[in-house]
Amino acid sequence: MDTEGPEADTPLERELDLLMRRQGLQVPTAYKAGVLAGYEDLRRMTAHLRQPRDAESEPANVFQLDALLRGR
Amino acid sequence: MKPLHELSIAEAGALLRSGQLSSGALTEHALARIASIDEQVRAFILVTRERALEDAHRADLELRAGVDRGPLHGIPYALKDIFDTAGIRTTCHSKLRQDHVPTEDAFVEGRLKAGGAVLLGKLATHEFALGGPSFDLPFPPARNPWNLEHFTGGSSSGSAAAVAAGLLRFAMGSDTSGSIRGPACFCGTVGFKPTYGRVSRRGTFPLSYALDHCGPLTWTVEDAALALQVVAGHDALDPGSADVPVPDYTSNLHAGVHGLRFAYPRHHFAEAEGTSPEVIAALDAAARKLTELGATVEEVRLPDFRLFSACGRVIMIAEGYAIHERDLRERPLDFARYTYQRLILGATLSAADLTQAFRLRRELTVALNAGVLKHHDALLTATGVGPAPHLDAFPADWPLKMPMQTIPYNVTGNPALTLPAGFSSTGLPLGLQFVGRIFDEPTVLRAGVALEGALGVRDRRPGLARTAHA
Repeated sequence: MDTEGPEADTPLERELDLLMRRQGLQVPTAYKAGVLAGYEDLRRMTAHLRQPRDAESEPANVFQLDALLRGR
Repeated sequence: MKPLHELSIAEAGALLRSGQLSSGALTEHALARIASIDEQVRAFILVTRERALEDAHRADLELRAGVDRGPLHGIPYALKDIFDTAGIRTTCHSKLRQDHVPTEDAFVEGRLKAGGAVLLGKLATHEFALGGPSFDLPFPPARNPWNLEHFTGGSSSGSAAAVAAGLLRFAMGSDTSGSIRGPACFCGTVGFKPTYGRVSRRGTFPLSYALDHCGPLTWTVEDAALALQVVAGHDALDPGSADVPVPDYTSNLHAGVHGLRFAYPRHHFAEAEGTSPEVIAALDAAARKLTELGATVEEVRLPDFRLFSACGRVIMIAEGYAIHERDLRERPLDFARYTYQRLILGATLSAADLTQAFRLRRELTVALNAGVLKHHDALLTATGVGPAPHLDAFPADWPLKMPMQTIPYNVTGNPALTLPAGFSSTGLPLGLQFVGRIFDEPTVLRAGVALEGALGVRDRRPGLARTAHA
């Protein structure tokens, strides 16, 4: 598997490489350009998530006893 | 009588019960159509011919003995190949699972078996219900029966293609960000994503625990109601399954829309990048038609579409990465390019990203349900922002951006039905959606039946479905 691509040449690519290395991952060279394009999209999306919100914006957590006890 | 493959579930069911038609004949006809047409459409990954003939024989014997298992008794169907079928290969359309044979049925398959339906086989999907169209997998992608050079949409690609080609009248799909409604829209079928928790996902390969839904793809809205009747219901072994009584989905189907109030978030699709004027015109015409039928249609504003999209996609990518992390690390080149490129992005998300997405999800769900749907019976919107793109439009390296209008209702969990709104100038289907209150599938289906009849779009079928194999 070819994972040794050329040196990253943009800040975004260096950031992606760092995040992947931190997870112990190496993106195959053949897939790299697409992953980088997707990462750029994803960064735009995560920026939308980071807006002020109040304490009521809490994810719901509902548990069903039947489901929790399955297999016991 | 209509050609057998154009009979709806209700029509075929009536003939089966009157003895004018046998499930064996219906099944043989479907198998013959698959043999003659599917070489072009590629909807099926696996045809379970022997099982189908056995199921049909049993269904006929039972009906003759007075045993009626319900609306799908004797009706042929097929499953997207992420639904487990005991003893039958279930691949997720992936090299990673191409020899996988489950030992248990998915909950949905169990319901269909118990309901006397006839399994024709397993259908193409995008790998692990994500990405596509991919040509670097063990099986080819399904083709759009309206024009074989165009995309089916995905990921329930084979389900939509099979229904549109008249290979069957009902197939099961799954929907995480639009995977039932997108292909149904592009292939001109009906597709119904019911409320989150309404249909069990046990035994269905997950993409995102928080967003996955299972539902039917059919030719008519009435058939979607009949299929949902059989597969809906609580399953204590699916942690996301809701213990909410299942109503009779057909009792109020033909009540019309007189007196109903529809919200029309036109800005979501009309202001989206790249929306076809034909889609806007078709949706405006549908809104006028509802008014002519006695309903009220009021334009409303929902939160920015980009918030729904960001919320849904971050959750989907994070959960999908968690599910596939080991294979992404150890066997990256065994995924299709598009699948890998999407899933691996989960490695770049932080705990804070996911938490903020779930917080935003609550805000958006409240805005839709306690806001707009408190004052309206249902919502009318587009499904896709254009017709199915040509397969050549997909770049080699990264999937084509297609801003479907479907993901908001995976984020909120509301029931969402797509049906054809009309056709583009190129002869490809355009789609609209009705979105209802939580667990109010009956109102969504009722609106769908009314508009389907008023728009008169069901008599037009792909040429391939009409001309090939009598």
